Amino acid sequence: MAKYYIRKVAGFLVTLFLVSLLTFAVFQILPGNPALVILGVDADPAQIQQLEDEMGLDKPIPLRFLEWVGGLLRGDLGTSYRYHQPVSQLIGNAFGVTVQLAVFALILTALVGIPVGIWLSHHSKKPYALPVSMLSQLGLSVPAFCFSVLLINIFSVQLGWLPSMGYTPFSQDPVACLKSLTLPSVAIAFGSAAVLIRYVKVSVIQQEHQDYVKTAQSKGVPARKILRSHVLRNSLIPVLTIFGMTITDVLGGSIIIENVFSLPGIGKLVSTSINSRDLPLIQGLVLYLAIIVVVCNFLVDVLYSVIDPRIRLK
Amino acid sequence: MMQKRILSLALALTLLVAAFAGCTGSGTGSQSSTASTSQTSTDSGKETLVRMNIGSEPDSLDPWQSAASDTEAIMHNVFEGLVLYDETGAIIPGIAESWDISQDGLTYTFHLREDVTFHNDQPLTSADVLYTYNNLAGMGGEKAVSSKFENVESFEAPDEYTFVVKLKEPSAGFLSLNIIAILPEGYEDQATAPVGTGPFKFVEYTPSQRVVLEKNENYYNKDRMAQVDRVEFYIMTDSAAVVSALQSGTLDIASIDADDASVLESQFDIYNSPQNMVQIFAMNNSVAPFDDVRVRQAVNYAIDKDQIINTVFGGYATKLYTNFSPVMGVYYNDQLEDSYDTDLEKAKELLKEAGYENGFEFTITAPANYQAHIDTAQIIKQQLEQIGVTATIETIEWAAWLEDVYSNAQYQTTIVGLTGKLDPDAVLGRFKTDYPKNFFKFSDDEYDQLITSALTEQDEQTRIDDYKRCQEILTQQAAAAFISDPNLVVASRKDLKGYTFYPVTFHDMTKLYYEG
Amino acid sequence: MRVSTIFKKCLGNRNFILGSSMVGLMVLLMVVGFFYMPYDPDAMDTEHTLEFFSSQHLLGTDQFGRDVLSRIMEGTRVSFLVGALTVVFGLLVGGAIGSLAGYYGGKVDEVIMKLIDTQMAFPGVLLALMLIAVFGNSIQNLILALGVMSIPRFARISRSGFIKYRDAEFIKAARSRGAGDGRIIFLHILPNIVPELIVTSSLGFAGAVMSEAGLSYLGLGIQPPTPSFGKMLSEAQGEILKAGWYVLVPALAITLLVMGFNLIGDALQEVTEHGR
Repeated sequence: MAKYYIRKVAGFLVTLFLVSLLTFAVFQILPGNPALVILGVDADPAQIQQLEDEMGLDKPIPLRFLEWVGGLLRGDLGTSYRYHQPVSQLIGNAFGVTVQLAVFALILTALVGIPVGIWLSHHSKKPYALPVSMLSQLGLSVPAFCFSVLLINIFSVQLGWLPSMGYTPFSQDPVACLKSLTLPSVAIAFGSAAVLIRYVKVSVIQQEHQDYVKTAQSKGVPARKILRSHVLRNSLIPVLTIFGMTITDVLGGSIIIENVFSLPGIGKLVSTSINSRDLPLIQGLVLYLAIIVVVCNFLVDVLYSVIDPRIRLK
Repeated sequence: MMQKRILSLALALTLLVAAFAGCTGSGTGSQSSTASTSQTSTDSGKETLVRMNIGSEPDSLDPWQSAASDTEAIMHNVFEGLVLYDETGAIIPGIAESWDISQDGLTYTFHLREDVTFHNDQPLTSADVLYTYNNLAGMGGEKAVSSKFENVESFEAPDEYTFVVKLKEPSAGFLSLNIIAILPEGYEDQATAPVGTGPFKFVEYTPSQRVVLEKNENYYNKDRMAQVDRVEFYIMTDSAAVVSALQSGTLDIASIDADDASVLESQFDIYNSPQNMVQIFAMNNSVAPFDDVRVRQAVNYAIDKDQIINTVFGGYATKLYTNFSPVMGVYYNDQLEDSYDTDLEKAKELLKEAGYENGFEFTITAPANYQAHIDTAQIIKQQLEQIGVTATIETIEWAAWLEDVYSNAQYQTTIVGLTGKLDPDAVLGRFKTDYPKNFFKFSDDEYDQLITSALTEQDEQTRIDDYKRCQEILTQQAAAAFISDPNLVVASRKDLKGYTFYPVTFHDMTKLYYEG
Repeated sequence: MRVSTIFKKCLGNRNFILGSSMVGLMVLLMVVGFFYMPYDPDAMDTEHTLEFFSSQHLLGTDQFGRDVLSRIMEGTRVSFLVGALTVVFGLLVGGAIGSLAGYYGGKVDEVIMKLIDTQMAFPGVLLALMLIAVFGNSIQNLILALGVMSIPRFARISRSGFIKYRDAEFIKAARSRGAGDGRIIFLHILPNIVPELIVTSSLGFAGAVMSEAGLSYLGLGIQPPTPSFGKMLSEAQGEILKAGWYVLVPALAITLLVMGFNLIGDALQEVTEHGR
């Protein structure tokens, strides 16, 4: 068991190293000088020179990579070229926004996806279920950013209820914060709830054809109880998979959604760091993204085994 | 099952149609409910607050590491130089209450005010000024922060409130260089907690969100004392976000896209003024076919600037004829205003003379993050088709543009906006043959001579004439197609008064006040 | 199951009919566009900008006074071109990689799947942003980026197909008759997983159309003035305060195309699975 984990962690570290090396290499061939990008066309040549020195752009390339790895081992991700702030602090701030978005979107996804999925599993043949399944089909087909623009058009431009863009920190104004996250969360949840509805529906139907359900029914256990104590528990597995996927996606920075709504989250940071050739920042972000994927997958595995003790952590 | 899908689809379409119907009502119905919800800022006795937008992330809060005009526009509230400028661009006293210039134009003696303190309560003396200038010019063992002070022979601080500059050669442009910020000696944290002497103090900066300033109660100049207590600048890169923030009352005043003025004019006061920018269609003068002046002139005759101004800038832009905006006042050459009136026949004739009777193909390399320039490129492409010239538009990342086009001049044509400066040399000097970033590859002996001599010229009228002649050369040689100066358009709450325009971008927060 | 049988069954599947009529409508727009368009899609008329639907301009005009219907017609070409090339790229590269991994198994499989997993850990948009930053902003590079993004999907499907069949009796029989690896892969196993690959292609097409729209919304790929649905959507968003209807046109076009291919994919899946 321990050996398995050691191997797994070692493999992960190798992946991290390769990904960092690759990112670093890519940035060496990218056209564009970070000092010039930051200072722009009005820059004084002396300023550009000074900024380049400060960034250490004059040092040999392998040395710069080694220095970065050295800093990483001491827990120092370096300082962003663009923002003149520690990379860890910038990622931390953006993570705060992204986590709020992810949680909000997941709650909406679950609140809509699970009940609607269960309901559809029993009523999908009825005519009154049509609008519901229609919406879920749309959810699968309308790209999230496209849906976002429609949401903005209706709720910000026409009705003026919600801000179309920007983010208010929770500490500054909780209500405004929730308002600023509503549209992007709905945009994300629209798609992921549609997927969830599909999976819940299919797996509830599958479970109900299982022998243990039939046995319980023949024993006279009420339908509600069967649903709650047997079927739901077993249907949760695919639900978790979808959750894992959604949360990985959102925490990984919904680059397009965050751009549409100008949210200062991870996705926005990713695009600005590429645009401004901010190597330390993008290196930190790539590490972060890789870690998020692994951690989320691991947590989903753990939850699997909690829900279904038969699944052991292999 | 299938039936259900079809029905559901029908319903979806109905919903979309309904949304359509809701949208066609030209979108004004809801706005009355959203505006003016936040009156807190005007309540008497309460702290007064002004919230404004800026269009880009500050490049650095440290003035020595900053070059972006957007950053300067807000940080000039915090930092001040020995001299300041007024609405016309004229130099007025700042930290120095007066100055003397020697007969030979080589020695500048600045007399500093004695009541100036930095925001960290450290009193300002000539030692701070000396420290600042030594760094700027790279003297006294420091590394130069600016290359504009290469003409300086020496700096001296003979007593606590006198500062003397000796130049190598006389320079008419030197005085306006002194608007550069004076920083406290020995203070190292300018990049994170900037400290200046201005009417506003820096409070906080949250990357990609906002910069907050507050009133400096101890400001020395009662005439320039701030009238509001606190100012928040929100970093917003999207123009639609700015409009909805204004409408929902989360901004009090904003610089907006000219395009959006028509949507806002019923609820907000709209001000606009040329901002001393030159939106330029640059043609690489060193590559064929643009190395032929007749081709460049033909392009100038084919471009209809009014169509660009009306379509891209909603009419809020000032037509240009040379690389100079009329806001530059006395230096502006107004004799060029009828050159290159759109004339397709003449354009075709010039092309024929140049041997391009059947037109040619070329590429417009436009920076991908500037929609206005991309839109302009699309219009120019259409306009040039009328004289048989075919353009292909290629958008490239800003970072790549700066490297390939701006630094290495690897391009055929491009569109960009060059921000103006108070000093005409900083504007026109870009076209000098040996200017490191002369990406136009324009080269003209007379022009180079005039730029050089104007810099040291003592007689103001001769200097003005020199710069006017320079503008004329640029126009005659068709160094580029100078399109327009896109106006700075500001929408302000109706009870917020006093927004003032300067010849360079500066959001002067001291002038703002709430009415009533 | 033979492809012709699948096709027959599809004709009886209403999802398929519905999906193909959506895609068919877009194809029709594209084909008609090759012979006739109401206006030159790039021709500006700055006197008549952002006009609502009328008999002159059935879908109105954009911010330059260009005819929106003509631009949509030309935009379908971009979508179909990008979708088709992306699928072909994914099918060839992903299919080949997945087949190798599935057929040979062992170390080959392990290494390939590790690489696929690493790629999936990288968000697709980030990958596209970096590829385009390195190689330049053009439609070719956009297709390359989308193609690379679609590799894992095809690789996984063909890998599991090959795992399923590599030890099947008829393969063993073929091998004992002396058939080489190449012959077994191409003649014996590949035909069996064609249905799965068709389903994946259809869904992949929808995915590619969606991603292209997303990336061109961010200003990557298609160069102006060539219209693309995503680019039109972002331009329309800029005019949302003045002409709210305009965003709905490209949004609807994207939805029709994506939903059409999704429905076709679903239908194919249903048909092929029921056949077993």
